[in-house]
Amino acid sequence: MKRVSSLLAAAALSLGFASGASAELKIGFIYVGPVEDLGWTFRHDEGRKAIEQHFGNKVSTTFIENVPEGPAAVDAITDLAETGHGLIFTTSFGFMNPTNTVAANYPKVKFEHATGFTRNTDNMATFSARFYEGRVIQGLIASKMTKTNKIGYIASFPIPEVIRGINAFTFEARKHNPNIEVDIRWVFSWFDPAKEAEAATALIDAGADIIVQHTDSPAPVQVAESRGVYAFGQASDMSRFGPNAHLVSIVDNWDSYYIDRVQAALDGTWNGGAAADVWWGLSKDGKGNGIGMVEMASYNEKALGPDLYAEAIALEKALFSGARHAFPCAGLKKQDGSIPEECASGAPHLVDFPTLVTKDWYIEGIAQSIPK
Amino acid sequence: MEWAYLVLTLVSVLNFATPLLLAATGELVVEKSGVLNLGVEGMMIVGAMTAYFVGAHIDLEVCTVPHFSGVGCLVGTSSIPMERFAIVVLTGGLAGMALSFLFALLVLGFRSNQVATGLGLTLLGLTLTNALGSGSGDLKVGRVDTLLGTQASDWGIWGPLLNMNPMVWLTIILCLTVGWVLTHTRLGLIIRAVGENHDSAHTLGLPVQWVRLGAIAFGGLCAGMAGAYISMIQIGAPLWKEGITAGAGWLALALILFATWRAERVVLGALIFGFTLALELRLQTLAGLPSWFVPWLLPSLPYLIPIIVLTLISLDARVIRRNAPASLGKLFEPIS
Amino acid sequence: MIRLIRRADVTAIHSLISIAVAAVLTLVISTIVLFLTAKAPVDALMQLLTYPYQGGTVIVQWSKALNMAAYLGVIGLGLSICYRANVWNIGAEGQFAMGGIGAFGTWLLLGSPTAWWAIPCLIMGGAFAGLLWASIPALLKTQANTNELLTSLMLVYVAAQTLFFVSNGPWQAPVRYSPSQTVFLPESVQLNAIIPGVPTFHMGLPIALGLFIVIALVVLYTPFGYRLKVTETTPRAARFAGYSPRVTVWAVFLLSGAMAGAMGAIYLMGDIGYVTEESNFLRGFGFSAIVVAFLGRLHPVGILLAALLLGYVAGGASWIQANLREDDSIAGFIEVIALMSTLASALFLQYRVQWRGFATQPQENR
Repeated sequence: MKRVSSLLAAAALSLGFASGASAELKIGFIYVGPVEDLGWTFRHDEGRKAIEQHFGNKVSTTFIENVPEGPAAVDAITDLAETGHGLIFTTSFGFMNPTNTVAANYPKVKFEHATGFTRNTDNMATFSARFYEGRVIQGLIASKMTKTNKIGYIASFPIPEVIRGINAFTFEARKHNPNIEVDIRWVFSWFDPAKEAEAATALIDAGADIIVQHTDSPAPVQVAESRGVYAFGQASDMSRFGPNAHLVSIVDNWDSYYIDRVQAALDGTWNGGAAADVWWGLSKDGKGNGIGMVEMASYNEKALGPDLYAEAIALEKALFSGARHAFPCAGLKKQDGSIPEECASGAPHLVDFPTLVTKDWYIEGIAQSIPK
Repeated sequence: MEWAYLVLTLVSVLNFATPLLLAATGELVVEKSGVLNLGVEGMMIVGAMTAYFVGAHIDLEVCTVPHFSGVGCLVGTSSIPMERFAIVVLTGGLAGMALSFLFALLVLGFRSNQVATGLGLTLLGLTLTNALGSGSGDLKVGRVDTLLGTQASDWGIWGPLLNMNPMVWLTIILCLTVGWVLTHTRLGLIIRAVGENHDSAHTLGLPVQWVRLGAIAFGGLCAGMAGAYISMIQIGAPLWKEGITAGAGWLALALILFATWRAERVVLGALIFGFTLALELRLQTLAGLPSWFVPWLLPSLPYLIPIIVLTLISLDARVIRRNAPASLGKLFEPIS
Repeated sequence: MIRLIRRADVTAIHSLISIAVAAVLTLVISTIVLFLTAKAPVDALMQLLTYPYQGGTVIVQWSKALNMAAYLGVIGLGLSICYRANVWNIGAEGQFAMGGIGAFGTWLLLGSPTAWWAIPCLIMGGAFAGLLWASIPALLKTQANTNELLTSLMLVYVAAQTLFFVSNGPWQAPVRYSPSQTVFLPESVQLNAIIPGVPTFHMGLPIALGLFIVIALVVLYTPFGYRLKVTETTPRAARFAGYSPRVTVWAVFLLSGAMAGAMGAIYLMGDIGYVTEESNFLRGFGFSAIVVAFLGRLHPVGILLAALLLGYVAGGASWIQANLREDDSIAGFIEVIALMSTLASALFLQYRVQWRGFATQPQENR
């Protein structure tokens, strides 16, 4: 089920014999999928490699992959804490409670949890990316590329992060083309290539000519390629799985955050607890300073054509600089037609907390309802 | 639109049904010879992994990936021609067969308990593929060529159906042929005699152990090839991940029960199972269904149907007696 | 050539020889596999065997092994009762899952209490749900003569789907803690850790041990146990003795189902705290318990040892995974190798192997 493999043969040789290797800091990663999912987990593993490259002998890293999001996660995280890892990254929303549990038992170990929102102890921090900024650009492209006005959206679980993406996408798409219908199918898995492929097939059979996915495998892009429709890549650059079908990928880039946090841990400036929550979008601070966690990769210029390509790039720049917010209040309504609370009280756009963090409502224009 | 949608649904149904049918065909022969091999799932997944890796090494070229911190990767050529695909499927089948020989050694040679050995075989298959199957991230296997290629559109709405991998049609033919061989030929008679009563078969001078060894090997071959279909064809492009068969082997066993050991009913059952599997994501957005229908009942149907059908059939003991091999799962001790 | 002659009567010596053969085979083959797969085999083997004393917290490491052994032991004992009666219940995974669902359902039915008395109620609710789930194949077996092996197995998948359904449907938590799950049971209705900081060593473990001892005594020293023994060794004699096969089928199915269900309830209250979809809830205990039953040769003492062995090995595999970056699939390999060796070496228990030289008719003995 789980497997740990070495990254570099040399590193494996030097570390193979002793648990107490010479490295100052042992860093452990818990992955929800396999490294070769070529999506979410793959990108976290790239971040781990970036740490190794940046810090060299000062740190050593380990990962455990395919960890289920239940008691097995508590065991796996405990294993890392028990074997002397000083900094542990847990990289799936479902690890939120297991990470909090173990963090309470090992106060000297530092924990970083991706995409969660609870930090019960001072040795626990969370981080997340504003992937929905990328969804805005996808929405623009989809609205101009579709001929059937039907977009197929493959969603994983009805959690806030996924719902944010659906909303950001639909909001932008319908702004440019109000006839667009977004058909959402839930596969209830982060990584299940067979089911993702079947969802893509079912959506294309039902008339969708653009496939959006919030799941981790390249299978939907591959299906789109063989069926002659368009698709967007998720988490990593998936252009090679569908050279014609692929329009643009939202790539997660954890490298600079991971390096920042490891540096802080080495320097003794690492902080956790109630306030330790970091969100980066296309840019670090949302105002155009620094490269963030979200990156748009491999625009298919041939398919987009020069005008749409320029428009997409302009939108990306606006989102990067903060000139444009993904959820501006102008024209934004909930599915039931009501106006979101903060918009009603005059804010220019939706705010991070509590709305975006705990969001569980669709915007106007989505016909389906969130599965219960 | 409606007809085209039905044809596309049929494509999905056949796509789900094919590996179940192929594995069930093999297991049908095994059970007819009086052996119960519960290791189908294990043989399937080993076949799936072997086929994928053979497919990956049969043609590779080097590529570079943008935005992947400069790592190189190996990517298969854009397509695998049909002849090479046949080799790939066959190696998957041989891998399944290799595993089935271990089962045969323990069950026939060491007279071990068939249920426990079969379960052990499944466990072995899953463990082996977990251990060996990791690190396939940089392998990408080329898409398998289709019969019609881009000319599929000439056939209108039937194009997607006609363009399916030939394994789909060959599997149906194989299953019906196996059914015919079992009922109409001397070989079939021998297999059935061995499964019906191994002691009388032995007294008659039939080589009980060798017949069973052959049947088990055939079962392994079919299960391995069924796994190869899953990793090479089913998803639309070749793909390997741990646990990719996801219970298909157990469904194949259920299929035989459903069919009460009759080949033509195995085909029918495979289509019904494929239909229920294909419906899940298609009916998800349909309004008006009870809330438990799509998420609970539909995915459970392939497991509930055989229980219900088997119970109905079992109520009439004669039907079972007519088709079920009487020595199924029983220990054979040659009197010497 | 080799000739096999069935032993008229099996003595303790034969048993010991057969176990010794299995143990040696397992040790040798497992070591070979480890040397083939591990990056640093010597270190891996050493740490796999002695991991509680390799720098981690000793009690944490031991309790990891004991926790798993508790589930495998109790469920395996239940299954062994079935197998001794020649009833093939291989659906313990489903009965375990329904136990978890049943316990949570009981908690909801009682009006979501927070008092301690809910704990025994939930265990009983879980046991009852497991029993009900096991009664389906028993009913079909006795009323329609349906093959229980396949019906019990098929029901595992229906139970798994039920886990998915309840955790995404009617019982889904209002605040989305995790992709698909129910609310947490309150702290007071959870089986708390006996030693603070060691969550896997919880009150459920002594309860499981008690359950194991009671059932083991029943199997070893009561008329029911005698009935099992007769049914196992000479099924025909069981009929002459007036033992109704129907009653036997019902009894063993219900008992094993209730045991798996009770463990599902303990798992719910001790290890997980909520119901969630199958890939996160189920850990394969119901299937590994089948291996445990056969490794233990269907005897309570053997089952206890086998459960401890598999629990210890699993803990060791996860230790070398985290500490040495070795593959933890070695645990699966050892499980399979031990099972296959035990099954194969049973030959020497049941048969006398006679070497007859090369001259005599070889075809006769194949």
